Amino acid sequence: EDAERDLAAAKPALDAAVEALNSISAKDIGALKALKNPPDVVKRIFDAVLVLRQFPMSSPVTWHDVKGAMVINGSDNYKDVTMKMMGDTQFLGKLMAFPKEQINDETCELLEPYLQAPDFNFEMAQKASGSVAGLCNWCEAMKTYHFVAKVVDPKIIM
Amino acid sequence: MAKATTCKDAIKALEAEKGVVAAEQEKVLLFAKVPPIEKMDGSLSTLKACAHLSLSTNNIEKISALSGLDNLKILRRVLLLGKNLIKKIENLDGVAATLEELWISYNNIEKLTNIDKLTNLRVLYMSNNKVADFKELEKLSSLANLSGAFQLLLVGNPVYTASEDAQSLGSEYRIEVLKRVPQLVKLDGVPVDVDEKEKAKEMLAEEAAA
Repeated sequence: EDAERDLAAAKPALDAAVEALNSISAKDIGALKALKNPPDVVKRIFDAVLVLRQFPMSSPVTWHDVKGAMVINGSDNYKDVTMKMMGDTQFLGKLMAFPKEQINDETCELLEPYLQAPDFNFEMAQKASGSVAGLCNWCEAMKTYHFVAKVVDPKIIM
Repeated sequence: MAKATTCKDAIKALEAEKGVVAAEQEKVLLFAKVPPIEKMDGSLSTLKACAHLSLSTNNIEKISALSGLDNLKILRRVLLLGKNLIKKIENLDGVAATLEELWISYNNIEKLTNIDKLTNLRVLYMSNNKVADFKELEKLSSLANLSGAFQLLLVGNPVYTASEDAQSLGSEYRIEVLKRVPQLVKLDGVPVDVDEKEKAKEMLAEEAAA
């Protein structure tokens, strides 16, 4: 009964995640791949996806000013890892099937610096990049799901 | 390159921003400082109540200056060092007896040196480091014995990426890890199942007999 209630609490996050991915088409990804130098926020959106998928990322951490706000620099990853990730024809499908129950607290904390940027939201990202902005919502929804779902299985502390 | 943020300044800024006394806080979040923190310094030892210290997403190269944190007595005792430039697990003596979780993904750690000193450890998150040899994991087995349940995250290390089906239940990679750390309850976010445990046990017995 408790588990059912907790799952009901997590449902909005899951619905938001599905909706976010449904708003993106393979064509959007294709258009993005064609850009030589995508908007800064797009690079960071994909960095956040890399964090969630526990994919490799470049170091050290560097920051730069984008429209008056200091944000993490994501370009190093964009050139290699991200382009490869987008090159996977199953990219969106894999996000759809993402094993969200495997997210841990550390991943959420590593995600936080990206989510905290003032332009890391659907509205701002959409102006810069169109439909892939939905990935902002997806990342946020995954984090929300993790913290809500943690209550579901108290045996698993993470 | 801008000057680094010192731990001292980061703590001061936190106090000013939240209107709190850092020394009284159980959870101290110093992650993602701009510019990044490069050194752990003596100011960390003032965090007497701290049970959850986060220094992730910075450019720290070396673990140090944790000597004053040995009073940790509350809640989960967690040290977060993910996404830094750390090469070696060291200088953890001050927290060795109390630390329960070490989150240190996205660093440059190749060897699990000194990990056996963390006698209370039960969660080790270290995705995307440089562990290339399964043998390193043997250093974890004594810890897992003590705590009874152990969780490990190795995604993105060479031992993991060398395997094509690392995430699949019963994969050669998972069995190799389980042979070294039989007490694991969760590996790479996936619970260890009975069959895997059994298989690892059988393989160990076979190797011992050979």
